[in-house]
Amino acid sequence: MLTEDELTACIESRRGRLTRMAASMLADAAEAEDVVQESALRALRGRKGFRSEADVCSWFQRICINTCREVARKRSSEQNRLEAARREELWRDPGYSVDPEAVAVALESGERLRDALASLTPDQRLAVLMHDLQGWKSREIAENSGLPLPTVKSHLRRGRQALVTLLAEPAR
Amino acid sequence: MMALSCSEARDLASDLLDGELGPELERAVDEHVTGCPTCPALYRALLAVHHKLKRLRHEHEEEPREGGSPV
Repeated sequence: MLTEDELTACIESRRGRLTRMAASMLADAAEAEDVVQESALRALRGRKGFRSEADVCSWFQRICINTCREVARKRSSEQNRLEAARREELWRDPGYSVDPEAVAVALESGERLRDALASLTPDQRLAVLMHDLQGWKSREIAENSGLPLPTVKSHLRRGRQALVTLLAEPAR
Repeated sequence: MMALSCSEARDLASDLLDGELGPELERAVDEHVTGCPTCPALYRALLAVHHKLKRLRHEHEEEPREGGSPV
């Protein structure tokens, strides 16, 4: 059976990076710490249900990623969802295009990029941050979030497309 | 030869950036982008975003990893 000491060692070894991942997802350092702490409590409470053939650190990581998604989804407004649907519709229109120079200029601004990332849906943001900024493979994101691989890939595609659209639009 | 719609080519362009397309699909995306009036600009913009995020990732990778996981 998984002991409290084993689990605590794992939590502490991952705390720093998971807190940074949550901070990128939520754009809020204090909330990121709360998410990791809440995940640690969930893991400690649920450790008796842990299957010994699984990797304990991956299991904790999965709890943390899903707690983060849960918090991000609660914060995401109806307006965000409508905006995301509008952007997806644009990419399905054969007449839609952008000025790549405008995107390149916008990318020079850290603030524009942060705002664009914050405007993605929570699952798109998770896929783009973990894949493109943190170097996870799509398969690893799927395994650690419990999402099917084609869903992860779809979030990644839509997230990248949404970033282009957001960066091509004039700054608000 | 496989002919792609704009929507299909735009979705596959993301997989192309990750090197995840087979040679036939890669050719099909390339052919579509070459002959399309709207997709080349979108592809260049996607590429710019991809390169920017990759640069930021390499900056982050200077930090030590814990436990061998890419988190």
